[in-house]
Amino acid sequence: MATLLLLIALGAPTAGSLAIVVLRPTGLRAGRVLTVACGLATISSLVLLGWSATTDDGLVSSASWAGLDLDRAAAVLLTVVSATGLVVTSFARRSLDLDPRSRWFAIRLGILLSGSSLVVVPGGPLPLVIGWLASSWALVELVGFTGDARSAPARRRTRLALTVGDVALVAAVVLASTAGWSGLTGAEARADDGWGELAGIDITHVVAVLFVAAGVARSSLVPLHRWLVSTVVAPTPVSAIVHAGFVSGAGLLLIRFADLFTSSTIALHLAFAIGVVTVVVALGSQGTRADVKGKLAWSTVAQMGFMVLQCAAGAFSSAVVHIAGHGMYKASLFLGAGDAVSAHLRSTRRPPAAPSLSPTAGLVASGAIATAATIVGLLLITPDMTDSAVVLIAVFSWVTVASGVRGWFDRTPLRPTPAIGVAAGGALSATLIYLAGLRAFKAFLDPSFERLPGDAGVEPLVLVAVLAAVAGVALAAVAGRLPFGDRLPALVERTAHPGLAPTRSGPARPGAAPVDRPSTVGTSDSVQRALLQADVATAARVVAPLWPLTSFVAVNPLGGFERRSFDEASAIARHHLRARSHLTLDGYRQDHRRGLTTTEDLQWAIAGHLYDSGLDQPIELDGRTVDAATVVECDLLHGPDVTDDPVPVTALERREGVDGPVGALIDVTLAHSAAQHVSRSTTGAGSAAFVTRWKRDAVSVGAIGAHLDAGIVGWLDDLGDDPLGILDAAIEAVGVSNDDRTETLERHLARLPGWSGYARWRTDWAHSTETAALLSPLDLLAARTALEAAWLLSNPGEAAGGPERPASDDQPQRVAAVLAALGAADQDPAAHPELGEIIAGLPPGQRPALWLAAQERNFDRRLLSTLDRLDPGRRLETPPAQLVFCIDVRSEGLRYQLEEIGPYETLGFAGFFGIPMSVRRVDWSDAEARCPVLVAPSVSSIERPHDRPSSASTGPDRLIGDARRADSLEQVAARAKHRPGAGFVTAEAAGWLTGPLAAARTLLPRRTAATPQRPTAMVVDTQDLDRRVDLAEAVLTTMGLRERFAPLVVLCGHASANVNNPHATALDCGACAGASGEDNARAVAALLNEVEVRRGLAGRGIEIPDGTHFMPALHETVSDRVDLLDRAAAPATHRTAIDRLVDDLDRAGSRQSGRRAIHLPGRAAAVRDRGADWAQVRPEWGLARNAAFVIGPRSMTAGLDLDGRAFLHSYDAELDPEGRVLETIMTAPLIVAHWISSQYYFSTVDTEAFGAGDKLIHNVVGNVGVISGEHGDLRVGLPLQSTHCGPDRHHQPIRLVAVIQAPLDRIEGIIQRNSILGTLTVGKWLRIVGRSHPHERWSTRSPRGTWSAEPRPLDAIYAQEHP
Amino acid sequence: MNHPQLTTMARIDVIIDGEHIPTVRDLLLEAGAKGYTTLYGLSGFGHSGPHEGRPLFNDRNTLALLICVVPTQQVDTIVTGIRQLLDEHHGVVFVSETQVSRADYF
Repeated sequence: MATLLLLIALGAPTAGSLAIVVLRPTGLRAGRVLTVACGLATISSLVLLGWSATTDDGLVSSASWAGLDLDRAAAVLLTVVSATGLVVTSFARRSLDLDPRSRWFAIRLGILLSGSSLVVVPGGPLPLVIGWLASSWALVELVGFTGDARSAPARRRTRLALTVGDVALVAAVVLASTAGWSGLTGAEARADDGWGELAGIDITHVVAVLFVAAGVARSSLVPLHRWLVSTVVAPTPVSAIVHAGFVSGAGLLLIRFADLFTSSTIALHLAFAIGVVTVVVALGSQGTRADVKGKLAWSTVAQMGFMVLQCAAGAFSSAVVHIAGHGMYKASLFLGAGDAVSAHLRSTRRPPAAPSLSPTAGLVASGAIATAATIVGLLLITPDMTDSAVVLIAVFSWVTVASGVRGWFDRTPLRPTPAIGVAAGGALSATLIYLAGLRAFKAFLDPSFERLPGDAGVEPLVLVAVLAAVAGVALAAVAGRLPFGDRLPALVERTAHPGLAPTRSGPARPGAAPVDRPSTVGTSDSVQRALLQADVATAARVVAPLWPLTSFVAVNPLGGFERRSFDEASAIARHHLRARSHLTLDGYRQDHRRGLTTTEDLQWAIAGHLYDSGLDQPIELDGRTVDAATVVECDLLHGPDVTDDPVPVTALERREGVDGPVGALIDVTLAHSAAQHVSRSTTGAGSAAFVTRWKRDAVSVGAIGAHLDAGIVGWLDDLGDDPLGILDAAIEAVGVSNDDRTETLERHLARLPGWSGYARWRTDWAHSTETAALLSPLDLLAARTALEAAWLLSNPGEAAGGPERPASDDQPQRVAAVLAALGAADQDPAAHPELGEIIAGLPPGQRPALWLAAQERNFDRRLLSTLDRLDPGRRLETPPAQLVFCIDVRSEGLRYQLEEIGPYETLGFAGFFGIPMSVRRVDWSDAEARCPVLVAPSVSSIERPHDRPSSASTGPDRLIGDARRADSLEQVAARAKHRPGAGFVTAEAAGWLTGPLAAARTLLPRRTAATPQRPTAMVVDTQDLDRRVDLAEAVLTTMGLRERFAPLVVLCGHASANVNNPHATALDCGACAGASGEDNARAVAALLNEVEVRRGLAGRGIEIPDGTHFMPALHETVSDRVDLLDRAAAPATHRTAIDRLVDDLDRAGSRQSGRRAIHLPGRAAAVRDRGADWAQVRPEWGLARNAAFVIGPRSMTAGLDLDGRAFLHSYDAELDPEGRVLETIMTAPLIVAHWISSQYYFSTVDTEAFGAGDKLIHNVVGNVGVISGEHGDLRVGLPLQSTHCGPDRHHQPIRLVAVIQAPLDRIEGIIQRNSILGTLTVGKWLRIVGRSHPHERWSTRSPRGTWSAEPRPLDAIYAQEHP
Repeated sequence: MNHPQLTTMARIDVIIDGEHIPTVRDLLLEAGAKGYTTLYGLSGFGHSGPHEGRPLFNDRNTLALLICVVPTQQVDTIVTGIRQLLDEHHGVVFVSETQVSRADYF
């Protein structure tokens, strides 16, 4: 039985992998197979643990042929590895649900888990070696998950380090085996067994040192400490399992061979020294990382160092507790790493603390309390361990408690006496619980370690001396008293960021000949400076502004080129941004097969092209006449695709090519500098701080410094800190002509679109109250041009030359493909010049444009066919309730379902409800904008206690109290986690809590919670009644709701409740600048319910009946649940209507989520709860598939299922004779929708350049954005999972069409009056369709501004429907 | 008009798309201007036709006027920079002489 259980516990994951190889299940099923296998392994481990607990010696032995012997320590670790494996596989199954690599992934994950388990269980040499090597192999494979240049260096680094460990382990095992080790528990490996000598050295020492070496590699200890941080390029679940079990290899070996290890003083002291150095290096490195995963990885390295220290101190049972506790702790932190942005937002929103103790008093009190708690704790519960172990425990638990208490004093809202009382009680309780836990574990694990001598491990005096020395050095370093202290930070940073090393070996500096230093002085001529500044401003449009992820705002990535046509901007994207502007021809052909275009659509697009080009003459081929259209169609359907090679623009690119290694290194280094600047600089830090940062990073941190001449480094230094001067000197040094200047600057920025976009946001779009560090495109340009110049000057050479523009010579292949498709007798392209002429008339870049036009034509035809019916006009009767939803495409389906259920009337309006406001809740520290980014907030809304009586336990005071309590507890946790030395005990102890919680969170599905009712009122904060009436009138007029008020009018904002998602705000309301519309709905509803406001409105012709109540609501888009808010403020007379509405909304939400389930994987019933699932990378589809913006009365679209593809804005032309409302709609909501549509378009056609790539490898940096993997530029746009369904596109990339029911001359007038609309339509960024009256046919507006009624087949359909 | 209590300075009026106002602002500040005034939502008629947009919720895509008063010696710098910008964007710049009562404000 024991054998069977052991085999299942160890082998089930690999058996799962094998089953996946053999049965080849689909993605989700592959994950399920592995999850079931890991579930079996976990159950077996738990049974074995129970079994081991009930035997006196703690041993559970397998049959002798299996050679496995489980003791209690191994049973605990095996259970933790198996359970973590189960959690991670279950998590990964959902994270990778549509990923084409999920099977590949599951196979390797299974092998990794079995391998890691085998290493834990004592047995003969063979299982150990097999487990060790198999897990190494699997990990290296998984690190290479992305399979591209991004993961290649990490894979290489990991493989190298692990190979060292593999070789050491195999050597140790071979040596021990030859020396007579049978290797069950390691007990016989004691030194006094006399194994003999090797080259005069006791083999015991050799084997023990080899095991230490193997452990060093596996646990990423100094000197092989740099590989672990590289592995963050692997998907999050891989990191979780690596940090939870795999990386503890050193501890596992030392525990397993404790007898051997403690008897070899060489190995013991070597491990001790390595442990100490690792702790110091890793803690220093951790502090320099601006990315969440990098920080976690270095924290793990420090923890591994501590684990080795525990073993070296003879605290083996503590080491077991640490490995298990830290493993669970770190796995949960990695799995939850996506929460960083939301956590940052929550934390910064909390009201500022007003600590009652001064910082010095807090410091003294925390030290005293921690000392007292440690002494009392040790007196009450003495750990039954070696003296060294007790010292280690005492020191680090003191550090942890002191740090936590310090955090408490920083933030606690309590007065001094109770604050100290709570701190003392908490500190003592925590210490006692920790010590009691350790003691209990020690007693439980005694059978595994009782054979060891009582004084095993390094001497207590040595330990104390070393710890004191380390603490002294650390304090001296912090105080800046170290002799080499000024170089230390850069050195540590360099160690901490292995990704800044060259990805490929850059060209070495030829010789050491000093080079001439160019001028360091940029022009001081103010006119020249102004010209340069203007060029910088012009160049900056090459990148779109990038908002921080705390409020995602969709933008057109080519918005800077909107003044040009879409086709011109596309060409710029291809040549300058190194990005695709359309799908590949294959992509369009796939869509053609899927029915997204018909032959007729294609012919329509081709006809337009032939008309424009004049090449519409038929040709003769083999005696038959072939239309030019047929030739082009063959080319579109069968011609070979071409990709544009990027054109070198900067001087460095001309030298080494666009993708050369030095340029890449400069990009990586600058991205690092920007991240450090933004995440560490103090409020308001600007150019000078950034200049200091990048100079230091380039010379001392990034590998670029190794390639710079010493004189040129001096030149860089002397450039000063004025970015305009630096830029001028740098482009002067490499000789950029004025004519090329803008284009050159554009390319420099385009190489770092993420940080350049962030800089554009910070400079051009951020509110004046923004506190984030300053960064401008000029700052980045100065840095990048200076570094290129520095390298070029240090490494003189010639440009590679070659053509300026890549020659496109695909013509013969295209002609050949057409000839083949036409079945021509003579297939020689040269023999068909007329055909060649037609092909030449269609440049390669133009073919995707024709496909795109055809797809849009297809969509328009379908949409207009659906909309081409008589609009029955407004209903006369008043509905029981009117519900105003956001125009967001996600509202469309819900509105349709609700209207199907009851006689409700719905309206569509921008979700900020027409008042550009900032809002401040009672428990927030600052106000936040809640309006489209095109406009600045003009009023503020604040939350205040509502007029009804409330007690302290239910009123706003409770919210503030909750926020303060959360804040102080969070600070306690943060200090106890992050203060140097404090994290060890925290991880060891907290893991036993966070591990099971993470398991519950992963394995037990959660429900999406209802939006809580807040015990407050949200009110527009102005005493000026006229102003309030103005606002109310503007809202109702723009909404088209000036009469026919229903008894209940619901203003329904929307938000997406999803967790663990850095891109969460991308799913929120775009009209509220990437935030929830809840507060706007509450403020506007409250305004419209005010008696005085209604009186004022009546004076302006808007009579709101007394019986009408405005009610706010929130549409949660993951679950399609609508929660009515401020229900307590509703009059009792409306209760029945509200109850009925609640029921109907619930039914509508269920139906709508059922419809959405078609497009999402997994069980349909679980669709509504995806937001609560932390493993989901695709909680909902957001606005994917958006394609149309419909402006007209709801009667025009009511009862039509538009499949969630249309923004619906209510508009009644009769109520707006002057066209003011329509102008507002077309110049704000339509523009925002165009941005959203463009963001989806470009993120879909190029998921790497315009999209944010795969979410699985995202790593939050500086709380502002994500990077992919360990380093690199901020990612822009939408993640792959927002636009794609596995390898297939979910979003159809077509440009937005606006369908407007309003007099055509009114539409035309608005387009003429507003140049932005003229620009967008002429440039084909936006299509306009309109009809003046409900009974007319739709007319399309050509880019040139002529309207033409849609011809057949609409006529045919019309005749059919309206005979 | 040369009032003894007034100082002669240059007034620069820039009319440009609202979205470019931050750029013009940076140019002025870099050149030494100490303040400016902006006005969004302009209408009128000019070289590229009518500009009558009155969008309610869009400050970025309307014409905006930026008024700035600077010592005359700064004019050359500012105008050169703005001219360079206007090569790429629609807009006009007017420079005129003006009198101010508190020269140290500018």
